[in-house]
Amino acid sequence: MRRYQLMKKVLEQLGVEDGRVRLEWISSAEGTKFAKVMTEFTEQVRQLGPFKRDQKAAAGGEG
Amino acid sequence: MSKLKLASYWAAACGGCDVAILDINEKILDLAEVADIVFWPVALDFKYADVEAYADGYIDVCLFNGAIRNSEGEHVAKLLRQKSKVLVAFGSCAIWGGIPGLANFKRRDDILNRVYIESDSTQNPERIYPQTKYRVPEGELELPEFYKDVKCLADVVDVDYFMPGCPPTAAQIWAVIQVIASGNLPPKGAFIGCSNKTLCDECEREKTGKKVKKFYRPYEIIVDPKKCLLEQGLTCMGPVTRAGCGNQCTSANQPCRGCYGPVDGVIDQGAKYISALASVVDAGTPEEADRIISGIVDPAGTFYRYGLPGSLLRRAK
Ligand code: SF4
Ligand code: SF4
Repeated sequence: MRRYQLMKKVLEQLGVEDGRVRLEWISSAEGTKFAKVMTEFTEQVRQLGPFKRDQKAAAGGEG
Repeated sequence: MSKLKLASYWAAACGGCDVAILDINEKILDLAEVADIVFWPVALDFKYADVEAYADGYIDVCLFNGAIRNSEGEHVAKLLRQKSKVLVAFGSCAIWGGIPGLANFKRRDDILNRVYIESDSTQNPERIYPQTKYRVPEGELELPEFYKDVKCLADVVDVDYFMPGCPPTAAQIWAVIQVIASGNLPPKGAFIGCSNKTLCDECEREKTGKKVKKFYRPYEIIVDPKKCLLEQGLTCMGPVTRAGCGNQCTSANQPCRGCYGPVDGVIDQGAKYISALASVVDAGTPEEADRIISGIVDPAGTFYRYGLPGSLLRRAK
């Protein structure tokens, strides 16, 4: 979980927005949940579209 | 035995790698015993045309430092590859992009705008940018093309060996020169002038397994000279960095910034460090973890300080 939190901060600086990364626990018995999460997430990323490089990507590299 | 023919070149680099070669001090005379230097722009007056005139494979060993930032770097890399039997990516910039590789956090246009328009010391009301070709009465002038991304040497040519460090230490350089002169070369693709352990393995600071409630920048705390820096809340990259420098920074109470890169088998040093760092965060809840993690200033620039172009993501998207 902490790795995920830290990774998200790094990815944000690298211009990968919040909505493109998601962490879920789904057991092998939860087929319906898997399908639901995947459909939702695919749709979400589709709406975000390709990376928009005009958006202020990096807050990093100033130090 | 005939003398070795040695070349060195700097592409996108600070010059520190060249100075590091000079830092072998009086041994430079021993070097002159075993090798003839046939190209070294920082120290000797050879021209590209001299290199072009050499037969293919004429140079025995070329130590190439610097990242590939523009078309000139790529052109000379290809030329030296053709003329050298052994090509060494010398220093972290040549291997993973190094400090110049941090430019991959920005877009090409942003960089040009900053340098030629925005910076406080610039007056450029006509917004003139450098052109790759420009006509003057005397003929056409050319400048190298500034690439979109900083690349690693191995992105543009085949590389035989990799010698890490920002810069590689003089002791390691001398050791490597001796190996090269002896002719006992390691297998192709090997990392030379370093160990395959991590810096932590060679660090003498006391480790107690203490976790971290707050991260600091080095100037914010008085460092205990005996204890592990990471356990004191400094983002020391020792756990994911290859040993070989003699623990220079940690011996001087400074956290390792990771300049020797990852050990064999690790693809992405920054990602590995995320994992290492997350495991020392002392938090009971995700909110607390988030607060502690937020105390790390510029995580991406810290974890990929020397290796953004060589990492999995290569640049900011
Ligand atoms: S994290 Fe740094 S200070 Fe701590 S043991 Fe490793 S190299 Fe030494
Ligand atoms: S301690 Fe780390 S940053 Fe310092 S020289 Fe060694 S590898 Fe490089």
